Amino acid sequence: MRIRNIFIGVISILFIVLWVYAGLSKLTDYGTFKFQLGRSPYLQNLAGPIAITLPIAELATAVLLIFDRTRLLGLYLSFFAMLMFTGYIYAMLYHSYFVPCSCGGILSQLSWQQHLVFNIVFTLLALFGIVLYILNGRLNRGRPLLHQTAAHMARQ
Amino acid sequence: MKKHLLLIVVLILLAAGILYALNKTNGAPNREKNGFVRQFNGTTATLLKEVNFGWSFRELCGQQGDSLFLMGPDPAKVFMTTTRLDRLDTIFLDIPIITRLGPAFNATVRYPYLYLISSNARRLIKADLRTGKTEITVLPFKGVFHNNVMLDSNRWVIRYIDDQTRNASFKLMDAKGNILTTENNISKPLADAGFLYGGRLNYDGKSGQLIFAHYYTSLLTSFDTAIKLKYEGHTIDTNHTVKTEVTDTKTGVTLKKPPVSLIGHTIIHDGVLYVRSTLMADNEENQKFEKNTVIDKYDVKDGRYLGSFYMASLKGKDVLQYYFIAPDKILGLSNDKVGLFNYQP
Repeated sequence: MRIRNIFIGVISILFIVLWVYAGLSKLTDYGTFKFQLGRSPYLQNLAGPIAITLPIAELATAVLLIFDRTRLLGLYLSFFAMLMFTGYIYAMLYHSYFVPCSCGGILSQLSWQQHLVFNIVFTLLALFGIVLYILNGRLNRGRPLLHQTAAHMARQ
Repeated sequence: MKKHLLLIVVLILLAAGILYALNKTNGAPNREKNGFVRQFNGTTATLLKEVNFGWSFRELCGQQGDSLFLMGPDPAKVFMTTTRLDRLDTIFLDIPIITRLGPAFNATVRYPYLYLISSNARRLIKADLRTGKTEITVLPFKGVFHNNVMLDSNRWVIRYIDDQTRNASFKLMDAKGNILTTENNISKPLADAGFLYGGRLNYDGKSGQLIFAHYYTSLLTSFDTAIKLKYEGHTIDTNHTVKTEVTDTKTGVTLKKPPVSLIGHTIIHDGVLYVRSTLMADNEENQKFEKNTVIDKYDVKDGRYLGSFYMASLKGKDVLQYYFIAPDKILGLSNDKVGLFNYQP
């Protein structure tokens, strides 16, 4: 169980970093993000609503992952979001009639194919985190994420 | 436990459902009735051989006898195979690192020389394929160009974009980058940096004619090497004229909405323009269209439609570029896959 908690902690921290980074980079360059959505064949008609809700949802998911009581919900949302992102990139690569530039930040340095691999890995990570949580069978109540992880690692 | 497994399955199905709905509603033109029919009048292109050399190729830049010269994204590396696709050799060119040279360049082989031209890097490079030695010319004009074709070792036709007005125009240029001739009223002055009427430029050495096939409209614009308009024709999908929009960004001009390309690669061979179409005709089966690349043929002299044929995909991937290497042989490229087709007109 200790090992599982460490893994859950590490996975959660990875996703917190990912969602905070992704959400903030979209909000700080909102205009560019909305513009890029408008150039996507799949999302062009939904660019406005997605440009607002997606970064907010990413940041909210990061918050959910911090607290023990809401961590499982955060992992489920992370899994769902990564499923959507992975499926979207796959559709863009293999079914789209136009492929615009990729997203901002560090991930913009990745090609579409590399981004697909990255997303698949994180989708599986999220699923792995959920499975570990389920196998644990109990919640660690009242202890913040970092303390849990540090405490478990100190006991090693 | 069961509850969690069920929730995971529900989330997977929900994500798949949303993505499926987005895919179905994105208005891809090959899923709609496009208001035209194709004539498949017996022309065939049968796949004879398919190889994977382990390298990704962008274009066939020339042929000398049995030798075929291929380019990838690295301008300093030329690949050489044969018309039998039985081996691959690499020729290294002595090109220094030049900012923005790769991968945005075109190459043409007029053996023993390879001519490499890049708008981003403002360079014209003449490389000796026997020694790898190069001569580099800096193109002196301001502005950029989207398309270029080599007429001979001293002349190129380019589709020039003026950096002040952002209008596109065809120009004849010499090997030093001097502009010899500018078109007279062939292109529309739209201040669009050439995006709205972007396309592919081809040259027919026999007739001295150039044809510009537009990506986003059904236009075929033909002019001669003096940049005088000969005719404006249309591809067979005349009922499907797609418009796109441009917008200003911090770094320049770009497309505002996803453009729907009506065509892909085009070439001219023996007086015929071969156009890879991305639109499905009303008399085509969806599955056949999806599994093959459809090529429409047009007479270079007057733009008259001559019929269509299919080229089989290369391991499930569309043939992206195709070139005649003999009157009855077509070389097809799809990234790292190379196919040899037997062509029967």
